[in-house]
Amino acid sequence: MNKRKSQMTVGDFLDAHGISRRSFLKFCTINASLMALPPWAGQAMAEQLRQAPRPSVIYLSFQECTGCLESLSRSFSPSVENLIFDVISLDYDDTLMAAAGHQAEQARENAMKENWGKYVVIVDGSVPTADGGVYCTAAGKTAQQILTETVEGAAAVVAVGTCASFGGLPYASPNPTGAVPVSSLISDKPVINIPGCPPIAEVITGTLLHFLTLGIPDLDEHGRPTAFYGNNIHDRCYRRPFYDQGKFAKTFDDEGARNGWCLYELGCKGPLTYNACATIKWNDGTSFPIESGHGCLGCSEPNFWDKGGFYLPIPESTFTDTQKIAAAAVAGVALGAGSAVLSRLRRRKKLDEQPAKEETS
Amino acid sequence: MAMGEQIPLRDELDSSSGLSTGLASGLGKGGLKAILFEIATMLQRLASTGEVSQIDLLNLPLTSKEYASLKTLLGDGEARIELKLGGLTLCRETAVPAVWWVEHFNDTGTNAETIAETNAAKAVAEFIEVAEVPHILKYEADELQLGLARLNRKLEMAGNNQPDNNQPGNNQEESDHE
Repeated sequence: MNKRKSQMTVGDFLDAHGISRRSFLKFCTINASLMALPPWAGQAMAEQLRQAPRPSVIYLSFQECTGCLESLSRSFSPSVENLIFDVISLDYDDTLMAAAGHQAEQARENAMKENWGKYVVIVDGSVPTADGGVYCTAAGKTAQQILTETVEGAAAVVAVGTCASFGGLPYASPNPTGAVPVSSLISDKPVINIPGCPPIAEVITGTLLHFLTLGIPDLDEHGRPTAFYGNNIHDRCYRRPFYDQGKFAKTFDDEGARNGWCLYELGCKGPLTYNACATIKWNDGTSFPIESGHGCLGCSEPNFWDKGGFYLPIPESTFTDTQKIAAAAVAGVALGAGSAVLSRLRRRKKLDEQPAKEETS
Repeated sequence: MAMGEQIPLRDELDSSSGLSTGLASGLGKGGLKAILFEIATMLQRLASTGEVSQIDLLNLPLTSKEYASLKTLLGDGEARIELKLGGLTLCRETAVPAVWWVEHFNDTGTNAETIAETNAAKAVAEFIEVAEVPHILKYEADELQLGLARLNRKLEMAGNNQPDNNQPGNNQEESDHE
């Protein structure tokens, strides 16, 4: 990793590495658009960041599978998103850094000392607390100790992934390690949750960029940026018209599945899930689970591992009135269903009870 | 009454012309008309005050038909600028002066011709920009100074490397006129 030079601004660093002002402007413009910020925001972000010193970032990994870091650092093809690593000064990341052992820990301590009160701590993975937290240790310290000590001088904490945001898989029953989300251990610093298993790379990048230029974005009741987590998967799903028409796939290989019908009866948790998968999608906008034929798992929601089987339909009783009233959600529904109101009753179409009736769209 | 009926937002394609029925019958109703009025207002503002404006197309609830109609209506101008910025960026002048269509792509190895002919790549950001020139094309003052400094250095080096013109056979001008 590059050593941060205290006098170098982001603009200086980009120029020194052959990244043009236009490329960086494009990067900021794309991210501003993804966050539905006004068109001028991209230019403002770029101008502000270019003048600023590279913000120090300390990335801590605890009980995690590294999927979140893979989402951020690997791209299907080289993309403008990779520029985030040129904007920030990633001063510590035990997965990516070349240093190891005492030298690595010294890098973390130096970054904290030099940037006290200004550095950002990114955490992926949950934190075990049972038995004194011994189930995740590094450099002779427990994850809980490392987190507490590192966060002390941080400007903010970003919990990347569902494990860091809500506990994730380690937190699932019976939770033998006493895993907890980051937010349950930190009360005196702002915590932004970016859940997902893993989160979409652009969501991570966009949130970081927003924080570095415009401050903490608007957050929902779960601490998630509303720009990315304000929309329900079901309301943005391109298969929604089939739900409204009562056309459901019954198995993964039946006619309904082949025709791309709604996956509700195969356990899709879209109606209960808030994320940007249906709009931003994955791998440079290629696809998302539903489009690939599998129902949404609800991975950006708390306790998604313990919400019943992935392949069992959501019980009708969980459709509350609030969830039934959608915000104007026709955007992205290419078939033009025209209805922004969630159907109150799930219409079950049984071939053996009712003759097939094709409705024109 | 469903929301879609209260607020007409849809515009269908006319089957014979391929244009929006709104266009075919004189723009009709709906979101397309609203966008065009907004562009007109932006153009008026540019003409009177010089203020530039943008519309983020990917954040508008446009159907694919409305999108196609908008592209058809605005048409193509003379200028088309390709930028290589970690992926292609296309700045296309429309047939309406000072109205530009700007598309940003990630680096998927797709070139401009493929994008134009096959829609092989999907833009990650797309704007209509009302300005004399899209802002991404403009230079900043320090870039101009840097460029000038670089050019002056090249001129200086070229001047130092010039052959001595007083030596016989080194006078290029004489040899050119022989």
